Amino acid sequence: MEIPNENTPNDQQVTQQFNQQFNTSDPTNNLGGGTPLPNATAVLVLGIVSIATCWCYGIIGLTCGIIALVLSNKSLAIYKTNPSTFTVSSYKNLNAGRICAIVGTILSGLHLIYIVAAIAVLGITFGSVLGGALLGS
Amino acid sequence: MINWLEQHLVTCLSVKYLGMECPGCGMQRAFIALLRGQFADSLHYNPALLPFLITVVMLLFHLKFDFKHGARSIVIGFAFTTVLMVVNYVLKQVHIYGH
Repeated sequence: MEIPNENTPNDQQVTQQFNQQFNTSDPTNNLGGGTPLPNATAVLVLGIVSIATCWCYGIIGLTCGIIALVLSNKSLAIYKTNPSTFTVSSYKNLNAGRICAIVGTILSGLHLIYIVAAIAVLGITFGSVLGGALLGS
Repeated sequence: MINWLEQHLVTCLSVKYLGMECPGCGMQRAFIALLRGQFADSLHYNPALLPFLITVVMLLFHLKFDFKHGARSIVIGFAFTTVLMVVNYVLKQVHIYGH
């Protein structure tokens, strides 16, 4: 983990402690830098949109969710190279968006599978009815 | 305004082509009921609309004012919406096809 040279050792310790605690407790202090993470807002919005678009067989939800996941992965990689330069709130937004995107993607995927299964069952039913009619049984 | 909305409901693609409801079906009716102040009807049409709208409003305020626990509350609201939507959908499906 690279930390900019202008930070004093004391700052480094504080930053490291902060990063260790970050996953387990909710930090009330803002020790992060001044730049928001790229796409944090976009990920959050896309993540929430992904659950609201189930009316299109889950396809739009799946697309939004996957885009949000890809963006969040990119942003997380950027964050990990240099955590101290980004704002804590944008990191929290990114994580929240990521959770929403994961849930939205999974649900959209399940819904798509359910629809495909339903079409398959309907198709078999129609097919057998049609076949029965043709065979005269 | 409400009447205009009511006359211009979009038919769900799922209902139109497959004849089966999607988890979001009833959202528009629920929204119109909500605009009329009929909360019970709104929850009856689709219980997930109210928490979803609250989550979206929360998201907008959070993006504007950056609350300390904003991100977490959005996730909680989102989870609540999702659970309601899924449970409602499953119950509906069981009710339709279970007999």
